Amino acid sequence: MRTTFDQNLFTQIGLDSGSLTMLASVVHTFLEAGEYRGAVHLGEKVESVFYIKADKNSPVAQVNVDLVSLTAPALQGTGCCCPETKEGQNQFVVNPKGYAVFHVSAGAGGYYVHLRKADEDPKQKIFDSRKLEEGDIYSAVILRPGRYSVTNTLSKTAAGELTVHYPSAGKIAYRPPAPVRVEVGEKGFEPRKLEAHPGQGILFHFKQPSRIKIELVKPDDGPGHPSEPSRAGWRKVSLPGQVPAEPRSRS
Amino acid sequence: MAHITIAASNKAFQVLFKTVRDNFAFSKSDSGSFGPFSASYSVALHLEGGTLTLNDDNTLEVTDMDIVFDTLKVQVCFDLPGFCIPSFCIVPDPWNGCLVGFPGFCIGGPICAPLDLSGLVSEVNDVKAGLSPHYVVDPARDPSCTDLDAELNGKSNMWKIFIDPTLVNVDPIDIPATVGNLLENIVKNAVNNLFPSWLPGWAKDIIWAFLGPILDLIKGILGIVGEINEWLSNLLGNIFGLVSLIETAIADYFASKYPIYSFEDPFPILDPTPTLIPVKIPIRDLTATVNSKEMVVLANVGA
Repeated sequence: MRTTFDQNLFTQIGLDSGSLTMLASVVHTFLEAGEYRGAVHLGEKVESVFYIKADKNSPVAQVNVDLVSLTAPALQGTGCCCPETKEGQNQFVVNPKGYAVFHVSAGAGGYYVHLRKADEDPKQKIFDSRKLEEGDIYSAVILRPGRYSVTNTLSKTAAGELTVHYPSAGKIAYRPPAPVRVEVGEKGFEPRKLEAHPGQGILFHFKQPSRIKIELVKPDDGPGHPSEPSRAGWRKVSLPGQVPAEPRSRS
Repeated sequence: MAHITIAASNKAFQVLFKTVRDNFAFSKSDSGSFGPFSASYSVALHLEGGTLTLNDDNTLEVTDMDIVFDTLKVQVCFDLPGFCIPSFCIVPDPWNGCLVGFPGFCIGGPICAPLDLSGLVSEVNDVKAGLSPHYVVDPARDPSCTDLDAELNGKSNMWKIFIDPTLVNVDPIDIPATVGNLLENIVKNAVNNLFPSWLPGWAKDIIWAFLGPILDLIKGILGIVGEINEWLSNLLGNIFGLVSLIETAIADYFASKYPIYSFEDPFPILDPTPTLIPVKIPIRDLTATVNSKEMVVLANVGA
């Protein structure tokens, strides 16, 4: 039987806007027309380079930049893809008033993005996804129920709380509600206490430079899965004919 | 007036009919693809019971004859759309549309649900028929053989009297409502098997919540409007045409496969002795009729 589960969806519990994974994306708008050069970083290492042309005549309002497809090994050195094709896949066009959505479609991710004007000083960055500014949006999705802390690591005042409720099987199939919107300003998060459901989007809008970190504080394992160790522990190996020892009750 | 008259009482005819009925067997398998799903079946059945009535208008009728499905296996396969984090809107446009959306993703896989409904009993509602005598020459008989040689070789010509149906009506296959629970459990197990072993319990609960009530999910995928048992009955009976196939098989069997009575021609009236060959008389102009009391076979003697 074919499965298309990506383990990272369920094992990467926390989120960091400066380290994009499957459950988050960063939205940036250029405002100014021009040719932009982007670099996809994994740590200090540049994994890939791409170009976005912000063209006033372009009807494109949204361009999705999948950081995985830019860095996928399948596109590199297999001999099956000509350089033109690879280059073509690294070129994007969008209207300056439109949006570039940086996301990770598969795998562990952990990327951040630098953007600068293609023809200017390489050191003069105009966008760094580790430092989101006014106009940028960070969208996050939390699957694992529990209580989370939400912090802006670039500000000492911004700290919030997020509760992701445990899902319940109902008479109709569950669909996440509309996204929750959060404003990140000088006074911190507004609202400071957030409630969400699994798979529901949380959209962070920024009034000041921010890097959002969402970390699990207390997991909620629901009624059927108490949050105690699932390991059975050590048990003496019984010989044939012997009754194996029963684990001690936790009550 | 006919030279020969043979009669079988109503009771004797009932016994003859039971032998015919009990020798019926039908098996079939098929598969097909129907857009969102594919299905296959394998069936083997026999007949039991029934009420035989001889009528004065030279017809006979069999009602309420059971179709016993010794094998009735159905497999339905479909693609589970899986657990989707649907796209949601990040930046709405002024027209209630979406300018910027989060790219959604799905997980899922193909699932096959094997249903074993063996032992199910359906019904031949009605068979209306007359009697039809056929004169049968064994195609393997050498044309130059004498009747005596043919008898010695086991290839005598035969008069065979068949039940000749004018109507066979089989009821829709009566699938019990519990098949819905059976399908639900099979799909639940299949979905559970789809889960990798590392998947934590909370993640399974989220996926089940997304999938919703499993019967609704199945109905949605397969396009079932009513009950699952009715849908399955329609799938087998009408879409695969199994009811028609059974009707045709029964009609064909009674009309040409297994006679209710047969005897050889020429008909032996004296057995052979060590010194004499058997005495046999040729039979011609054979007719077979029924009335409410008996079956009557009339024939003439002659070359």
